[in-house]
Amino acid sequence: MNFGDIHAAGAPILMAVGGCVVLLTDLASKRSATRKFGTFLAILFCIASMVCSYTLGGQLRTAFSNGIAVEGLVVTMQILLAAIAAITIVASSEILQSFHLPKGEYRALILLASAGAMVLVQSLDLVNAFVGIEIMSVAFYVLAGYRRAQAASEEAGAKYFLMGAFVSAILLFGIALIYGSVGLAMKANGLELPQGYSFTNIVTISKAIHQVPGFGTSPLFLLGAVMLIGSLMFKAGVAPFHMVAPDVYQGAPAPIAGFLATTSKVAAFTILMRFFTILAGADTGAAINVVVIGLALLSIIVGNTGAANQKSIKRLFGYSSVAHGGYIVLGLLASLGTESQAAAITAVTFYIVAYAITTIGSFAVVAWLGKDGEDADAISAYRGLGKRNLGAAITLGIFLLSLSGIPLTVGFLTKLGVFMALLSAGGTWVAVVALIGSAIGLYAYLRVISEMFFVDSTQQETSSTDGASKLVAVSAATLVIVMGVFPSQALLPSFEASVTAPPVSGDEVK
Amino acid sequence: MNELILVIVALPLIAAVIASLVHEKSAKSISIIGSAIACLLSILGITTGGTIDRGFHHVFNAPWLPKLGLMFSFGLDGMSSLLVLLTTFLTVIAVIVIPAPKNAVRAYYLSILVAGALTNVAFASLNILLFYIAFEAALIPVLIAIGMFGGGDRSKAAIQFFVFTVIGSLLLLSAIIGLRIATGTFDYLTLHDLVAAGAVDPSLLRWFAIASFIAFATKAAVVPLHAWLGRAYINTPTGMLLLLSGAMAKLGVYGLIRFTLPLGGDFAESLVPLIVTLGAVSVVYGAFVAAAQTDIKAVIAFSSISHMGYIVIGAVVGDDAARSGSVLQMLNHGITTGALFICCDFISRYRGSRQVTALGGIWSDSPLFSRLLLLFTFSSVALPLTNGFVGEFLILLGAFHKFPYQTAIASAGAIGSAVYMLWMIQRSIYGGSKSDASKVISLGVSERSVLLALALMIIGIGVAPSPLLAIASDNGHKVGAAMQPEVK
Repeated sequence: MNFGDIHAAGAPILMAVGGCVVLLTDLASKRSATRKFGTFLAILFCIASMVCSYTLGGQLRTAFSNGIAVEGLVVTMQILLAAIAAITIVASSEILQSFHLPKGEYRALILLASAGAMVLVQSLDLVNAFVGIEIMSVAFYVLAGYRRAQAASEEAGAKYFLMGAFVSAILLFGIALIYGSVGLAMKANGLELPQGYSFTNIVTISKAIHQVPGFGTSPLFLLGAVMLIGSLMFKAGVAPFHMVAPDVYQGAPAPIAGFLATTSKVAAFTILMRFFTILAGADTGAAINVVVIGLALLSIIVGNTGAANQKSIKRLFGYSSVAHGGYIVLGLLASLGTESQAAAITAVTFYIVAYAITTIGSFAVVAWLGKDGEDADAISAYRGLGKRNLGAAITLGIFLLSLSGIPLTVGFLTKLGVFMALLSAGGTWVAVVALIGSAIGLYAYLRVISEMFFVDSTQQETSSTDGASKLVAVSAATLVIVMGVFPSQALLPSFEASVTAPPVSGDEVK
Repeated sequence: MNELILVIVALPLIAAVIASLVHEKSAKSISIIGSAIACLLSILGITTGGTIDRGFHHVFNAPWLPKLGLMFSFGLDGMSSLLVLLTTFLTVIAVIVIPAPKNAVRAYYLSILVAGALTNVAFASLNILLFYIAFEAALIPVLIAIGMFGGGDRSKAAIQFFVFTVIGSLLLLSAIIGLRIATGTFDYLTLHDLVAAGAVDPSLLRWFAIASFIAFATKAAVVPLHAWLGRAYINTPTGMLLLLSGAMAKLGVYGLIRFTLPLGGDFAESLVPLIVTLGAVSVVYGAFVAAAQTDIKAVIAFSSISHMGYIVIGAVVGDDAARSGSVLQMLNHGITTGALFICCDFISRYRGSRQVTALGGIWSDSPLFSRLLLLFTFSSVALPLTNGFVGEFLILLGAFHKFPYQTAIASAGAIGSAVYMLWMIQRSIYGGSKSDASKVISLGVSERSVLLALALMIIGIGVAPSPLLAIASDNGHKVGAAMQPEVK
């Protein structure tokens, strides 16, 4: 271990240290004084983490005995994760205040969960990925049930914990199967373990896949791979592992729901992207393709139909996140093709960033319109919003149009990117089913727009004081439009940089 | 003047932004100024000028998202310049003659000006992805206008309209992406050359033909893809309805002429008999449904299905005269139906009802208005010496020798249109007033001049159609004729 190693893992380390510092400061100082100082400290650590990621630049470097790898993609995602954490901490201060919920632990949990997510996105060894997932998930379970006094929140926490613990076991089992299959295959074929790499390292697995004939179709490996993919899909809230997502999003306070929805997806999809790059061009039979297509289409159908008849807007966003998870998986599917791989990785990266912004913004609107800390959750509460609070209605309207993928919002470009990658990978009928799903989703989002603008209401203006959520929502909506019209100027260059250095593949190992 | 189309698009948008910032009282005049200048400039668009590339003039190219193949590529030929002129013209009269709803003047003008500008982007675009973006983005202002300012059933109408048209256009999107992957470009002229040279996979072209036909037929409300039209038109506020029925529905026919047929390959040719049959069915179906209505706005709305049926037939039969007639008829339909919807708006504003059973007595109460309305009706039923006759006659003439049965059925629909339109006029205009609260329809100076101008156009085109026909005949068949771009 040397300074280079620490630097490469600096972002999660800073977040984890920040979590501890925030917790200890909270313990040591008086209640009233900590409120602003604690927020300040937490934000400081987030910014430090972003700076640390940024200084790593776009070139590939490995650290900690090749346990982690950092390149443009990881840097982008780590900066995004730190930004999500900072925004969540700022946006939730009002809600915590009105429920008299402890703030010190809250900030610490957000920072720790982000640290776990960052470990996950940069891990090259599957064991590290598992550690990252656990750090992230344990903090998630607590956050989902953070409003202990409320039954729904408690239920959400308990459900999330039970399902999550079960899935972690499956993930670990999957990793064990891969470990066993890689070891056996390499021994049987007389292949050396690459110097400095373990059997669970992605580089080793890649070597086995590409150099051992028939390894990609061996049942042991396929079972392990499917378990790994499935459990990561659970963490990303993809159907049919989506059952808890709407419950969790509805039960948790809006800013926390936004945090859970985005951080888990960013982290899980990034590590999936890395795993998929080693499967690209490998002979894995049809099994993995079939599983991935099935998961994607099921998510799109289940998510969009589930969203269509919701009475609660947070549940609607929950189902919407399932559907969007499905579109991202379609992008991953395209990354399995060697020719469409580069386009698919750019598309998925762009999709994840755009989805994070839209989702954080949508949940911020829900918190913004809340009253006395209660989220404005019932869709009927949005009736006639256009007359009462035009700004909020337009902001939410922009998010809904972006989620439906209408041009001039970023949602259109993300869908366009995924479909272009998918069609160039030859998935025509998959794209058609996905398009039908989009049409169903369109109805779900339009229903809310219709309630806001097209239906008269006698409801009185709710006096909202949540300035932080308002700021977050309006800035996110501005970004959605700017990225929808000028993505190249706003953000695309960084993504392009992020894929110039592709994740490590077996070819580089001798 | 290659930037002409940019100016035509940008002026209403700038006016819309200014109008939404200033006081409500000035919003209308600013909107009128912006759209009127755009309308005058689009007359210039008809004349050949600027850079000329393969039959298109005023060709303009600038990058938007070059990595995605998305460019600001514009160019006009006879057909698109006429449709741009129609759109800007309808925008102006919509702003002048239809009063904005009192509570949201600025939002109303904003939606109309933005819808008009985006429609023009679609008409003038030579980049097929840019066309798609404008085609779909133009739905948002319409959605807002129907939902916020529409009739009683507005929420349902808005959602139905939006979902229907977006499903169609999503299919189109998938086909466009398919073309891009096969050819590496979204540029219309390049695609046109590649398809003409047979360099694109026929199965891909087949999918493009099917998907784009569904998208464009939905937009043009061809039976059986017309289901959104009735509720949408009846509930759309009249100002937006002028654009929706007059200009945006034409995007469907324009798309068939511009994209489906040239880029759909042989399969698109084999679709022609089906499209012609559907067009003939639309003519008859629209006439029957219109005849059954008692709401005059509904009569005019469903008559649109019938009229669009003719236009679609003319667009696809592959006969030069019929295609020119079809382009001319798009213009005529925009003018005539627009005029009828304006009259309908006056009637419901002054009489408080649009039901034929509650009207009557308008002929004696409001002589100028009712005589103009009768003229518009004549144009709608395509009486000789009105504009409608020229277009329909050319379409039927050109279509007959290729599809005699379908054309015969469609011609029979013309009789139907005379029945329901004249019956509607008879019941709503003549006789004594059937309601006590009838008010005389008094036209202000601007309203009177708009209606008179429309009447003059109807007669003018009806008596001397040849100048417009000459422009309308330049509708895409010259593409590829001059391969080398030349600069004037």
